[in-house]
Amino acid sequence: MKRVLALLFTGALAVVLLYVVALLPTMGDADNPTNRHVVPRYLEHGEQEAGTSNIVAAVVFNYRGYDTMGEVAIFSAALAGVFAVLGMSRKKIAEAFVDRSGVKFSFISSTAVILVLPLIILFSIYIILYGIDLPGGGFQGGAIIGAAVIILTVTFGFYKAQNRIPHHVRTILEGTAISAFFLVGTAGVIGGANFLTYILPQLSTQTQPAVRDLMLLVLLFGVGIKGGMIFTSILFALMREEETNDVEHAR
Amino acid sequence: MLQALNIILLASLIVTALAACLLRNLLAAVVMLGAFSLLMGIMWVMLRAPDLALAEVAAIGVVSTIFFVVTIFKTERKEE
Repeated sequence: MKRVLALLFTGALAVVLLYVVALLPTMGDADNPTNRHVVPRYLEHGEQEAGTSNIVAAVVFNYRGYDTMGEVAIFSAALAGVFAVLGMSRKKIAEAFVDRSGVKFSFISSTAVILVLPLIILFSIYIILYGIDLPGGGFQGGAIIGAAVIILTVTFGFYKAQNRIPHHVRTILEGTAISAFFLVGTAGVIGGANFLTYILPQLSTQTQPAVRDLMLLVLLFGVGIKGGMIFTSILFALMREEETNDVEHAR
Repeated sequence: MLQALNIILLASLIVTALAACLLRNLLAAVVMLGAFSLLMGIMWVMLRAPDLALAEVAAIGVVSTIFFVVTIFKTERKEE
């Protein structure tokens, strides 16, 4: 009986949703409001209003800045979900971790990783800083930082990697993006305009290019560092194991 | 020439996705997911979206694959 009711309810919901979707205008039609008003506005005035020729960065950080703020909140929610499933550890440095191989990395690959890792981190900072003009931006740089930490953890072991990025550093840096958004947005409100308008209070009532670029840099750095730190925290939470009596089971 | 490249790329996408679903050895399925992410990265560049290509290859091809591998280390390696 319950199954029949559930089936009926799902069928009715599916019919309603399909009907609503069929009423929407066709995708890619030239008469859509998006293609007629929104897209030409972004393409024609984007360079002048946002100050950059990278329209993707202009849409993500300037025209749709609220959506980026929501995406940053999703990062934090994902981290909270991982901790809810795996559990936070009481101690600051984990005592046991996943290590099934028992094979240490050779001298050649350790040296290669030591030589290449600073260049990877430099490249990620380059991608973050040039996010306004070149393809890339905050999230891409953060993912590259996460990849660098993964290389470090896989090559040198969990303890050394965790000593490099300890718990208190990660806890502070994970809040950078939402704090950056809050600071930059409130600066716009204090200056007399809307939230997330890139002006500095008492400087002028119009957006100046240098101030806008500075605020965009703050935002980009915040998103990048936060993405990297969240990837790192999820990796450490996955690799950490509980302290049990038979630690031999972990090996 | 470009049409042939497009067709080969799309067919490889379908093949890797099906292989990732149907393989029993979980580690091989995760490697297939990494290959899928790499092919998607090539498709994004061909569709003139370099931001998406960077994000896909860095975040999904590297980080998500490692997450899956660590999870497999903690559980079984063969699907029942």
